[in-house]
Amino acid sequence: MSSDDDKPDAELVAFYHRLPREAPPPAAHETRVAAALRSRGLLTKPAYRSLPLLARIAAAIALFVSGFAVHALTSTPTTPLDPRYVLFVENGPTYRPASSPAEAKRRVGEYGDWARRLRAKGVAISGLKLKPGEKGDAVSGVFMVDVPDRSAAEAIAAGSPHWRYGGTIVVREVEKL
Amino acid sequence: MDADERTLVADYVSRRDEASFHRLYERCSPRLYMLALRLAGGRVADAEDILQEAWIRACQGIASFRGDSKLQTWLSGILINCWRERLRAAGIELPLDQASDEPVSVPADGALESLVNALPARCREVLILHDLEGYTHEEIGRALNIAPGTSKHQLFRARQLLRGWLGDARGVTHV
Repeated sequence: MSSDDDKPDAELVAFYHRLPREAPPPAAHETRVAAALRSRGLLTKPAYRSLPLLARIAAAIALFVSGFAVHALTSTPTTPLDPRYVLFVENGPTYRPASSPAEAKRRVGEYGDWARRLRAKGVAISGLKLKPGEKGDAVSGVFMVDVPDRSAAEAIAAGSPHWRYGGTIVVREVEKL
Repeated sequence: MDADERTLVADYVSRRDEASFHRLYERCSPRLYMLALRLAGGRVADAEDILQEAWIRACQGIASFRGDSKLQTWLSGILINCWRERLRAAGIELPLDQASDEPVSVPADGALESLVNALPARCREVLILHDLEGYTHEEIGRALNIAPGTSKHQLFRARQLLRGWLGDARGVTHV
């Protein structure tokens, strides 16, 4: 209440106490604000950082070493992919999970559409969605890209829809054995 | 500004990334949005716009925020400025002193928030800032560019209307 002498009476104080003090903004509002900040240089590009070694990813990488490409997120078969970079789709503390199975399915479709659009532009990309892992395993999927350098891989990662949901993307270079 | 707020601000200023902004947004937006909704008389689109503009201004100036007030207070001040500028840009200048006998519709649904939204715009602004946000009349005067005496008059009128509506809801007539 006010810090000067003009204080409300008890009836109004009781009324004010019944009013809500907070209201959550609409779900998409933060995303719009972040986009506005980014366009003004007030928000940096998504941060890239190292992941600890992930046993679950090793199996996915092995598929590529053997020259076998899996297209769980796309339906158009292509020639085997020889990726130079892997994009780990990570759900960290800021990630906002899907609110329903229908929303989860929609998001998977959104990620697949994103990859298909890149492929239509000539980008060699493929993706895998992972089953929920053990406790603490935050990686929900991977995309493999065959691009000439890290900056190209990072540029692709920056366009992923995963950022809209508060997730992060980690870019790692494949070591050719 | 408390220690948690200092950490949030310092984190955003040094990193300027989505995660640090998210933590600021998550902490402060619910109260800011409630304020924006009330200033906008319940109009969601207007409230969203001024909240977005407030965050942009805040992120532009946050590096120079000295922390001599609470973070929420500082942000609220920015939001109120955004609201005032929006009205000016739309060519809307609220009358400094609305006629005391101007008829005001009693909100039909009786919902608490509707009572606040139904207040005449200038009365509503003053009541929100004084009784709900804790501004003094001097501070309101500076924020809204009105004399403190005008602020007191508008507050008196707003409270009078609310008491009347609350009394009507209970079947009591205020004289």
